[in-house]
Formats: sequence, C-alpha cells, structure tokens
Amino acid sequence: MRAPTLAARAYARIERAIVPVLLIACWEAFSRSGILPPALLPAPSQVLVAWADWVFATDGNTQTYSGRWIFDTAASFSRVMAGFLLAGLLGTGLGMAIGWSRPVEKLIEPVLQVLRPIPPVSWIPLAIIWFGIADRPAIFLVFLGSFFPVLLSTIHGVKSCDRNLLRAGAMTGGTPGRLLRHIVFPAALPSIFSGLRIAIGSAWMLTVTAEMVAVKSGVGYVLWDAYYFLRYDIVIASMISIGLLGFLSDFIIKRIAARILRWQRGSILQAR
Amino acid sequence: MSKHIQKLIAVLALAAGALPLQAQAQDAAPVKLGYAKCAHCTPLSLTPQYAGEVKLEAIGFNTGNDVLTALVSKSVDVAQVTYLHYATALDKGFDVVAISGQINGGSQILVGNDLPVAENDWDGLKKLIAQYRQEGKPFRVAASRGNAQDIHMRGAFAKQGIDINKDVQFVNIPNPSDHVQALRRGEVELITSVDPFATQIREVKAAKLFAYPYDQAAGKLTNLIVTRSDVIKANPKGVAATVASIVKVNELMAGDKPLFVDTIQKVTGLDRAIAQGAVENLYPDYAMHRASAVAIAQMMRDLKYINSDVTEAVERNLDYSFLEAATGKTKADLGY
Amino acid sequence: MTLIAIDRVSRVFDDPARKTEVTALDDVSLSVGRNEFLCLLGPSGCGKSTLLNMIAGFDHPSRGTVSVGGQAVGAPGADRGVVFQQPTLMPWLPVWENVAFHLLMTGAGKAIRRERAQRFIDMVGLRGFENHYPSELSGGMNQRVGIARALLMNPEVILMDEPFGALDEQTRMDMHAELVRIWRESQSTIVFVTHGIDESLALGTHVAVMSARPGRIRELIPIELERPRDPTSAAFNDYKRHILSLLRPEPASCGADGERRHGH
Repeated sequence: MRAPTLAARAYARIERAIVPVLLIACWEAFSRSGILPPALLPAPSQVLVAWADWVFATDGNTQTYSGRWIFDTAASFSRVMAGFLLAGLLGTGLGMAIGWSRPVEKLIEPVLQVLRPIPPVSWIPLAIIWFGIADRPAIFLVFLGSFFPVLLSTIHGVKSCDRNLLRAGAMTGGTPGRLLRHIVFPAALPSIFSGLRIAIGSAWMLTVTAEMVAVKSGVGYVLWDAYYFLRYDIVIASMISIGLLGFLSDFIIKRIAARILRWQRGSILQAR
Repeated sequence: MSKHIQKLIAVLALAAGALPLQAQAQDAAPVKLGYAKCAHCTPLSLTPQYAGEVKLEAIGFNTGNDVLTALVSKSVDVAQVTYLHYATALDKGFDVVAISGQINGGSQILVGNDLPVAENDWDGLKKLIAQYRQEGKPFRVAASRGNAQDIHMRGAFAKQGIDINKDVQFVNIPNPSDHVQALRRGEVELITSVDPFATQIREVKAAKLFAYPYDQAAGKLTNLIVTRSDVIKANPKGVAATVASIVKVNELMAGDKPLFVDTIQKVTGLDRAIAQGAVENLYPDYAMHRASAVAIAQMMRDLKYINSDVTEAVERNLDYSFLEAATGKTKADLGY
Repeated sequence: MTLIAIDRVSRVFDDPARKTEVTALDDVSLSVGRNEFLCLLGPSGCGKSTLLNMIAGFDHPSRGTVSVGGQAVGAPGADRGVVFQQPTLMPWLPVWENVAFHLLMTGAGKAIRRERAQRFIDMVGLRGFENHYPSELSGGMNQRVGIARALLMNPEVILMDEPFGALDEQTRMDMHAELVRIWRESQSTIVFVTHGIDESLALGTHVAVMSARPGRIRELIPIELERPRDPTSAAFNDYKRHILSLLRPEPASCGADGERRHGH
C-alpha cells in the first residue's frame, strides 16, 4: 500500500474548511460590490470589526454595547440555563411518572398533548401578563420550548425499558420504587439525553424571541436593539454568538452523556 | 420533469403579463407607500383615495423600522418614518430623501398614580428624584428606546436639568403595548409613551399624565415621509401625486377632528374615548422643519444613537419641491 | 420433602383479536423435593417456560395452585432465583454490580456488595472480569454472570430457562460440570428447562417429559445414574431411548399409539 502523497495529505487537512471559506469569500465580495447598500448586508470583515468591539471594546464602534459581550452572553446564558434546567427536571420527573404508571398517564397525558402543539411564541402575551417584564417571561418561554422534547423522550425511554430487565430486578427482590430508581431510570437515560440535546437547541432558538420582549440585556436583546438602529453588522455578530453558544451547550451535554453512558461502547472479548 | 417545465412556463407567462404595466411608466407609475400601524399614522391609510389617477397603494407595517427596511431594500417606494429614522438612515449612508411632513405630537409623560407629583411640576419631580436617590431607591423611567418618545423625553429632561444617564435608571420597554403592564405592576415610576397607548393607559387609570415632552429642541416633531432618489428620478409624477394626497389628507384631518377619530377607530379598532383622547395630542403638519431636524440629529449623536455628524446630509436631503407644488407655498413657509 | 408443589395447574391464554383461547398447560401436577435437580424437557410450545414462570412468580395459573415451601407463589422474590434465556444483565453496570444486584435492591452498602460479589464471580470462573461491562463480554460469559447473580441470593430454588441455549457444545459441557458442582456445594433445588435430551440426562436427578398443545406431563422419570454422567454408556442410552419414545408422537392428543401426524 502506497503512503498518501504530500498533496493528498494536505488536501485531507483542509478539505473540511474549503466550502465555508469559499462561502465567506463570496459574501465579502458580494457585500463590497454594492448591489445592496453596504449597511444592509455588511461584509464579514465589517461584522468582525463590530464583534471585536462588542467583545473587547477595541474602538467603540458599537457604542453602548462596547465591551459588553461577556455580560450579554452571561445574561442570556443564565436565562437559558434556568429555563432548561427547570424543563429538564420537570420533564424527566413527569415523563417517568407517565411512562411508568398507567393511571397517571391517563390523567395527565391528554392535557399535555393539547398544550404541546401551541408554539411557544404564542405564549408571549400571557407570559407578560403573568410574569411581568424582566427575566421571568423569557425563562418561561425557554422552559416551554425545552419541556416537551425532554418529556416525550423520557416517556419513550421508560416505556421501551426491556421487560426482562424488570423481571430480573423483581426476581432479585426489588420493590417497585427501587426498580424505578435502579432499572427504569438508567435504562431510560440514553433516550433522556437525546431529548436534552434537542431541548437545548430549542432553548437557544427561543432566546432570540424571548429576549425580544422586555428584557434589558442578553444577546437576543442586542440583536433587536441593533436592528432598531440599523446596525446589521451587530445583528449578524449577535446571530453568530447565539449559534456558537448553542453549539457549546450541545457539546457540553454530549460530553456529559458520553461520560455517563460510557457503558454503551463495548468491544466484545472472546470467552477463553 | 414536465411538471417543472409547466411551472416555469406559468411563471414566465405571469412575468410577461406584468411587463406591459411597466411599459406605461412614462406616465405616473403605481406607488407603494409603507406606513407604521400607530394611531398618528392611520390617516395615511386614506391616501389612496386622494391620489388622483396615480395608483397609490398604502401598506401597513408593524414598526417604523420595518417600513424603513422595506424602503431601502426597495420593497416600497415611499415610507412614513420618523425624523429619527431619517437621521439614522443618513448616518448609515442610505439614500433617503425627505419629501413631506405628516403629523407631530403623540408623546405623553406618564407617572404612577401614587407618585406624589402634580401635573407639569418639574421642580416637584426633581425633588422626588433626589429623594429617591437619598433613600437608595432607583427612580425608574422607561420608554421604547430609539423611538421618537425616547428622544422627546431625553430632550425634555435635559432641558429641565435632569440627566437620564446619571440621575435616574433608564428601563427599555421596546413594545409600547407592554407599557401599561409595567405601570400597573409598579415596575417603573415614569414612562414616556406614544399615543394611542398613552391615552389608553390614562383611560384605564393605570397612570396619570405628568407632562407633554415638547419643550425641547426637537419640539413636537415625529413623523416624516421619505423616499429614495431613484424613485424620484423614475417616477416624479407618482411621487408628486403621493405628496399631494398626503397634504390633502392632512388638511382633512386637521379640519375635521371627528373624521380623524373615525379613521383611528376603523384602522386600530380602539374605542371612541381613547381615539378622541389620542387625537387631542396629535398635530397634523405637512411642513418639514429643518432646524428642529438638525437638532434631533445632534441629540441622537450626543446620545450615541448615531455615529457621525449628519447635519449637512439632513439639510441637503430635504426636498421641498413636491410640497411647494402641492401647496403653492414657498420653502420658508414650509419649515425651511 | 416436597419443596415445590404444582397442583392441577392449567394456564389458558386469551387471544382477543382472534377470539380464541390457547391452552398452554392442561391440568399439570408435579412435585419437586428439596435438593433435587429437575429438568423440564419437551418440544417448543409444550409450556415448560410457562410453568417455570409460574414458579418464579412472573405468571399465575388460570386454575390450580403453585406453592413453594408450603406457601402459594405470589410475586417474584429472592427466594427463587432465575437465570433467563438471555443473560438479562443491566448493561450500564459492571459485572460485579450485576452479580450483587440483589444486595443493591435490599439497600446494602458498596463495600459489602463488592465483597460478596467477588465470591460468586470466582465461583463461576470469571475472576479478573469484575469491572467489565456486559457489552464487553461474550454471551457465555454473560450467562455465567447471570448464574452468579442468582447464586448470590442463596435462594432455596434456582429456576433456569434454557440458559445454555446460545452456547457451543464444548462450552456447554463445561458449564454443565460447573453447574453440577455449584448445585452440590450450595445444596439448592434446581428446576431446569431444556429441549435437549442429552442435556436433561447429563444434569437432572429427575426429568419431566412434557408434550405440546396442550402442555401436559407425559412422565416424570427419576434418573439413577452415577456422576459424572457418560453419554456413551448403555444405561444413559436406555433412558434416552425411553424418552425419545415418549416424545415421538407429536402433538400428543391422547395415548401413545405411535401414530405420526405431522411427520416431525
């Protein structure tokens, strides 16, 4: 077998980056061409300049946002975390109850099925009336978007728990409570984690909408505020920030899942 | 495959059918006028009837920002925005030309019902703010940041010697429909809101009137009608007809208050009492006030809402020709 | 002394979709004495697994009673250990946690569980694999973990449902020897389900030959052979011939007139 040539090795290194770099280059060229007014579609270089100031306060071109990126990020992050954790706990708890107990399922599930299709965005007016203006309606919205994926995947995980495992547990003298804790819950964890990953994506997507309404800080808020002042470079910088934060959150969850679910990988040893 | 080709043919046929309309552009072409759905802007919904032979289409948008975006992205030809949008657009290097005023006013400073200040008592207000400061409580004032009311409030406060950034805590409530909740729950002490919401807030007794914020460099100025230079070049007759129509509607509104109230009611669905209250605070005015416009631009610069000094652009892009043609008055009489 | 008493047990399954009934067991009576090794032998569908499930407490008879130690069987419990057809281990736990699972269910601490598990891991010959996960072991090794798990409970009765079905011949013979050794050491009573005649003769002190549809016991045969059992000896093959004659007419509707109905 011939070793790969130098050219082939070099290509393998860069091949993932080719299309993104090309797209950015086209974008830069298009923006500079002047087909659209430059302020409407800022070039990547311009976005970068605005972003640099937003993060590091380099030259003050983002004015009131200068150097505040870390605060805005923290504000959004805390809201997303609050809503997400609440949704995770409630979704897992309720999901386990519904998946395990038929009476509970018959009581509660119909209500949830009716509520589920209602888009979170349409809850905004009620959220404001109930929670006022500030963090709470935003957290509520994030909660709504994250809750149902976790709930459904938990129910699925509980229901698809291998019946034989439960028999084995009963055979070893397990009470229903212990079976739930030591067998059903671990068996449902892979499903719960995939629900959590979907939920965190949902949470970040809703952040922009949620921060449109009456919060005074955060990456989504900056997006809308910048729109008011026609600062599309900041708008794009904000979009990218949200994307990055979403990616980071998902990455963290993936790592946690890999750690907790490490029993899933396995190579088969041969007996004797 | 043939399904796609059929679709393609249909689209081409449609496009071809639309061409003849373009061909008669020599005469006045149809004009798309975008406006924001607020009480003062409602008269614009009547403009199509007074445009003569020119086909004028009035399209409603949620906010002034959206209208401006539609204008610069060439989805509409003429836009009703505010003096602030005008300055912002010029700051960003957009090609906008102001061709007419439309209406002014519509701002009210409201305070919580239990706040111990009398109407128009600025000294009392300043004492109250100082008192809060001593007690370590923040005195919270709110507005929709970047809107005309925000500018009016800052200007008025500055004139009275209150520094918004230092003496009080500014809270941004972007959506005017949320103002009433904020006051009801006691989340802020003072709001500068826009009609009709301001009048509505008073009607439901969620707050009381403190003052009108018109005693400052920007005066009562609010709405402004703008377009792009390429529209003026391609369709001067259409633009002229639009301005004439706006002037006509303005005269109607100014002369016939009940008609104004009716229009507001019809377009926004608000009840009569609120519409009437709102009308009291609205001043139809098709003039374009140069000096005040410049003052607004400078105030925005001081507040860091815009980056550069657009005084020259502001003055240069005021095009009085259409107003002069429609009203027979001279520039000087029209606010220059 | 009778430990397990199966008294005129019938099990009928309803098929609501087809509006029929399937009789899995028809009037089965059996008793198993203490320290016996009973093999339930029969073709597929003769109800042997159903019978085992009823002793375990996973299922209940439609008619008749099943009792262990004089008491009717209610729910599954640690007095009747089960080794399933598939290892049925908790995949997220390492071997030692699986073996000590009974102690986890009774709330014992980690140190105790670890220590007790080690004894039984050694007993089934898996020393060195305590920290491996089931996905990292072969089927045979996992099956041994299942056996260790049941043994740790020190149950009066061990119920095994074709536990060596997936193993190759050689491994199976080794496992037979292991199992007999464990049975002797622990002095437990074993009920072992199989469809292999050789296996039943190699292991059991008694073999209950069952017939299919409906499930009935054709004969309960005590096996008087010395251990280790030699599958080539004459006595072994006498038993085998006898059992074959019992099994040949299928399905057994009534009597053993040797008539072949389905040419199996």
